[in-house]
Amino acid sequence: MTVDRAQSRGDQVSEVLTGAQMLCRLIREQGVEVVFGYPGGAIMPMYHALPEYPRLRHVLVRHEQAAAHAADGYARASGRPGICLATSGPGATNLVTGLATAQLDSSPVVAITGQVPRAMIGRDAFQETDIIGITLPITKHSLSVEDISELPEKVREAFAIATRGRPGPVLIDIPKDVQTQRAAWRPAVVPAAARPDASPVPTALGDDIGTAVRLIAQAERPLLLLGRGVILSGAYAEVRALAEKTGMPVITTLLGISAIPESHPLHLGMPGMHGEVHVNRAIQQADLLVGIGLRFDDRVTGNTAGFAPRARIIHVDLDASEIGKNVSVEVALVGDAGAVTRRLLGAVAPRGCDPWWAEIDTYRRERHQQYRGDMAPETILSAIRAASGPGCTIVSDVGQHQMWVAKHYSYEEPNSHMTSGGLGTMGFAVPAAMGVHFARPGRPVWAISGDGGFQMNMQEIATMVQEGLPVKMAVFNNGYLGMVRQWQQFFHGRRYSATPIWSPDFVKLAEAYGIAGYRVEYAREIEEAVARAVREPGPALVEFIIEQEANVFPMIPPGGSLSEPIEAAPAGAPAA
Amino acid sequence: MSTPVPAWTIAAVLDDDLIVVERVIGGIRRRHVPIGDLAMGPARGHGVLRLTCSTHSDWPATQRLANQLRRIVGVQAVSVHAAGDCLTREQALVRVRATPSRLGTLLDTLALYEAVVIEEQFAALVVQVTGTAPFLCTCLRALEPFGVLDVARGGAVVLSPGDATTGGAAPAARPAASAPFLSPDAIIALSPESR
Repeated sequence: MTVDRAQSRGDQVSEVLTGAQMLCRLIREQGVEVVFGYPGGAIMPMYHALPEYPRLRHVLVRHEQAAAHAADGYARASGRPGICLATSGPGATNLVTGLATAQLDSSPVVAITGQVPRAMIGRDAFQETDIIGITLPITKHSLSVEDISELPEKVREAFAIATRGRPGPVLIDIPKDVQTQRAAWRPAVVPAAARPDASPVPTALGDDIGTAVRLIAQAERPLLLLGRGVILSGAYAEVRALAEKTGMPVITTLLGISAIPESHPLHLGMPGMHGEVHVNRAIQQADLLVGIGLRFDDRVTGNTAGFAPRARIIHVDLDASEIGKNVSVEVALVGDAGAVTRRLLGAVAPRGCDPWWAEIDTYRRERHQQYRGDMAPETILSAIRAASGPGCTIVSDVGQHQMWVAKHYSYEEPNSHMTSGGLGTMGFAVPAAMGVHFARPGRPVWAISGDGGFQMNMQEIATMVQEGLPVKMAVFNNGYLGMVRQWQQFFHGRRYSATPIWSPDFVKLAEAYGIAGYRVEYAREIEEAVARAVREPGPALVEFIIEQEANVFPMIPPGGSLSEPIEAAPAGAPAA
Repeated sequence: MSTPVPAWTIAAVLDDDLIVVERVIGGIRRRHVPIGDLAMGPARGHGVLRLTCSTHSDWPATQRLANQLRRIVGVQAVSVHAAGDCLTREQALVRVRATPSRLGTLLDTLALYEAVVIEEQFAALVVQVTGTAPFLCTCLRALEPFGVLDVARGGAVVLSPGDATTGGAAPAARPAASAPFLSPDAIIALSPESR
C-alpha cells in the first residue's frame, strides 16, 4: 500500500496523499484515462506516483511537442480535456507549439509541467524557465500551484477553464516539492461531470433572433457558413435542420469540415484561399451570410475589404470577442452554436433557394489536372476512404496535402476531420492521430502528411510501436515543401529557395521501426497498398510518390479578394 | 506615453493576481493599439485591481481590445469611456526648483493649479497636483520656467459620472485607505468643473 492513511480525531479517517498522487486522482476525476508525456527531473514525483494508478495510462512520447499534439488530438476527438506532462525547462518549452496550436483551434488541452522546487524559483536553477510567462499569450489560462493546500482547487479550476465556454489550453506549473508535499485528500464535493458551469453561456437576445429571422426570410442569396464552433457544440443536427428548412447552401470552413456530411445535397464546399471557385463566387454574390461558430479569419475571407461585398452578416459565436473582429456584422448572436441555432430553427419559416442554387450551379467548373503516374490526390484519398470506411478519422498535417484532404475526402461522420487550422502547425498529424486513437479505440485513424511535415515528428512511430497504436500514416512525397514551393512559383519568380527537401527511404524507415511500409508510385498500386496498410494490426506507413510540382488550385493570392482566384500556374511553369 | 489627448479610456476590473495582470498587459500589447496612459491600483473589494488605459485608437479597434480583455480569465469587467464622458483624474508629483528670489511667484503659480506642497527641500519643493491629463500638462508647462527637476505621474483613472457601477458590472468606488494615490474616491470628490 503506497498511499498513506492517517487517522484524525475519533473514527474519522482521512487519506493523506502526496501532491503527485492527488494530481493522478484529479485527472481520473475528469474521466480522462490517458496522459501523454515525457519524464524529467522536476516532474519525477508525478512519474513516481503514476504506477499506483493503473487506470491512468501514460504514453511515453519521443518529444514533448508530440505530447501536446497527442493531447490535442485526444481532446478534439473525445471532447474531454487532453493532458500532457512535461518536466521543467526544455521539457516545458517543447510544449509551446502544441499549446499554441490548441489555443488557435480552441482545444481543451491541459499541460502539467514540473517546476524547480519553490526555494529555487527565481534563481535561474538548472532547468528552470518561466513557462507561465512563456505561454501566457498562447494559453487560455495558466496556474502556478504554490502549496499542496491549493492543488485540488487549482487543478479542478484548470480543467473547468479548459473545457467551459470556448475551450482552450490551460497550463499548470507545479514545483517539484509541492508534488511531494502531503495533505489530506478532499474529494470533489460535486462530481466534476455534474458541477454546474461556472460561467453560464450567454444566450442571444430575442430581438436579435427576430432580426436574424427577418433577414433570412428576406434574403435572395443566403449562405450558411459553418466553423469549428458547430463541432465543439455538437450542433450537427441543428445546423443540418436549419439548412434543410431554409434551403440555404452550406459552406464549411477548414475547421468546420464534417459539421455536415459532404454528400449532403446542400453542402457546397470549402471557402477561402483554396476554396473552389463556385464557393467563393457564391460568397461574393451572396446577400446574406449566416456564420455559425467561425471567426472569419483571413484564410476564409481573403482581403476583408472585398469580402462578400453585397452581404449582410449574421454571426453566431460563443465568444463575443469574435463578433466584429474581422468583418462587420449586421446581427450578433452570442451563444452556443447549438442553442442559438435551435432558436433560429424554431423561428424561421420554411423557404427554398432554388433560383439561388441555379445561379450557383452556373459558377461551377470542371478542373482537369494531369499528374505523374496518375497519382492524383483525389484518387489516393478515395482509396483511403474506401478501405477505411465512414467511421475513419482523418488527421491532416499542413501544406498542399492538407488542402487536398480538405477538398477531396468524403467526410460523412461528424468530427471526422482534424487539422491544425489556426496555427498551421507542420508535424501535427502523426502525434495528434495517436491521441485520436485513444479517444476512438477500435476506429481507424489516418495521419496524412507531406514529406516535410512528416519528418518533423516521425520519431513518434517509436511511440506507436511501443504502445501498440494502429495508426495508419500516409506521406504525400513530392520532394518539396510543396505549399511554400507553390508560393515561390506563383509569387517569387519560381526561385525554389530551400524548398527541395531530401527524405530518407520511408519504407526502410518503417522497417527500422518494425512496422509495415509501402511505397506507391503509380495509381494502379494505390488500392492494394492502402488495403494492406489497413489490414495491418499495428501502425503502417504508405508513401505516395506524387507529382513534384503539383499545385493546389484555385488559389486566392495573399491579400487578394475572393473574386481573384488563380486557376493556372504562371506562364512558363508546369501546368499541374 | 501621456502626451496626446486620448480618444478612449478602457477601465478593467481584474483579480489581484500577477498572472492576470500580465495577461491583460500582454493582451493590450498584442492587439497593437496605441496606448496613452496606463494606471493600475486597488479597486473596491479585497483582491481586486482596476487597470485604466487610455488610447487614441479608433472605436472599432478600441472595442476589439475591450472584447479581448473581457475574455481573459480573471478579468471581472471592462468598460470603455469616451473622452469627456467620464470622470477622469491623474495625479502627479513634481519636484520643482525653488530659489528664494522666485519663491513667491512659484507659490502663486502652484496656487493657480491647486497644487499642494508635500515636502520642502533645499532649493526645491515637491508638490502634488491632480487633474485631467491636459490640466497636468498645462501645470507642468507653467512650472517649466522655475525648473522642473523630476516628475512622477500616476496615469489617468476614470469612473462613470453619477453611476454606481462601471460598465454595469464593476464595483462602485469607496474610500480607499491603502491607496490614496490612485483612489477613485479622490476623483469623485472633485466636480468635473473644478479644474
